[in-house]
Amino acid sequence: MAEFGANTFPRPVDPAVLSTFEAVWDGLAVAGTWWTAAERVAIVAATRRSLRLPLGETVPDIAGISDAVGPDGLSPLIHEVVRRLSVDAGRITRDWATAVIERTGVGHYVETVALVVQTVPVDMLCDLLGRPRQDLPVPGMGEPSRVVPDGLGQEGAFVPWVVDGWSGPNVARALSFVPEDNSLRMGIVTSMYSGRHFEEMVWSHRSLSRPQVELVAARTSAVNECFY
Amino acid sequence: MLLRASSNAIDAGADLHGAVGGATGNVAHGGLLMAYAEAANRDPEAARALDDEVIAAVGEAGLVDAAVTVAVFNGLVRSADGIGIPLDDTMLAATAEARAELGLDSYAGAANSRG
Repeated sequence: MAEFGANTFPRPVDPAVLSTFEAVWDGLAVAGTWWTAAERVAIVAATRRSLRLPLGETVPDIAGISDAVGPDGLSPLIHEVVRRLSVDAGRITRDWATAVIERTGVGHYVETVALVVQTVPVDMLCDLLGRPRQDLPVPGMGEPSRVVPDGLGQEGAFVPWVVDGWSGPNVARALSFVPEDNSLRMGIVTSMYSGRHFEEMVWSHRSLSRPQVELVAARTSAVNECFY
Repeated sequence: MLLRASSNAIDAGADLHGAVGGATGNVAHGGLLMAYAEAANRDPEAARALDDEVIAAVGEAGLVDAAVTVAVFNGLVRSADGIGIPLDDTMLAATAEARAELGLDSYAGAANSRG
């Protein structure tokens, strides 16, 4: 079923973009590498509910947050991780991420990041174009594969990633600890940003010129205080 | 990611200060696009108040392009911050001057991404 059909958007959206949205939604409904489908959907639901802390409120100390699983299958710790990623990512530090990963394990952490970063662009585009957000899928059954890919290594990021034979930009291997989700994420990135034209400085495949796209991108990164 | 390089390629004369809210140089409709990007990031629904103005300037497809760009970079910034992606060596060297001039080295994430 085409959940992101072109006729569900009030303005024309590139079918290639909608196709990647479909793939992401399909991926939410099946068990991942570390989370079950129900847990994956719960993480996206938590992403949507995440709110910034009231001004002046201290950021919670991870050490004091329970990892006992709640009724939605997620612990308060995972809820705080999702909150931080969703609305306060600019304040994530290596110490914070290390402390989280010590408790969740690398796989659960990376897959949580993957789910947030796949679905935020989908929801945000819907919001910007005035389309209601897509209902979350009904989660399927099955167990996570818990497979750690070969060829990973630690090269400066918070988590291990592909190193054997790697020659691309770091951003493309950021979530390679969970290859299926990384592939879905890169589908989103490629379809919504450069297509097959990243190396070309003059673009004709988009309505805006490349400098116009890059200006919007740079302002977005700066508003989010993202150094990378 | 490549504002200066892509601008130089077509002699658009972009001003990198546009990234941090300053002048945008000669990028066509740069000021409006920057205003849209800022509004879209702070309150996506409220940003729709700018839709007609953006469409008048760059067309409906241009508005969608701008929205798509804001949306995808909201995923990318969270990937970078959540994973602590180190800036690639070539980019680290190529952007040293601009980062200093624009104050980007003071961002919290700089400690994670400078490698």
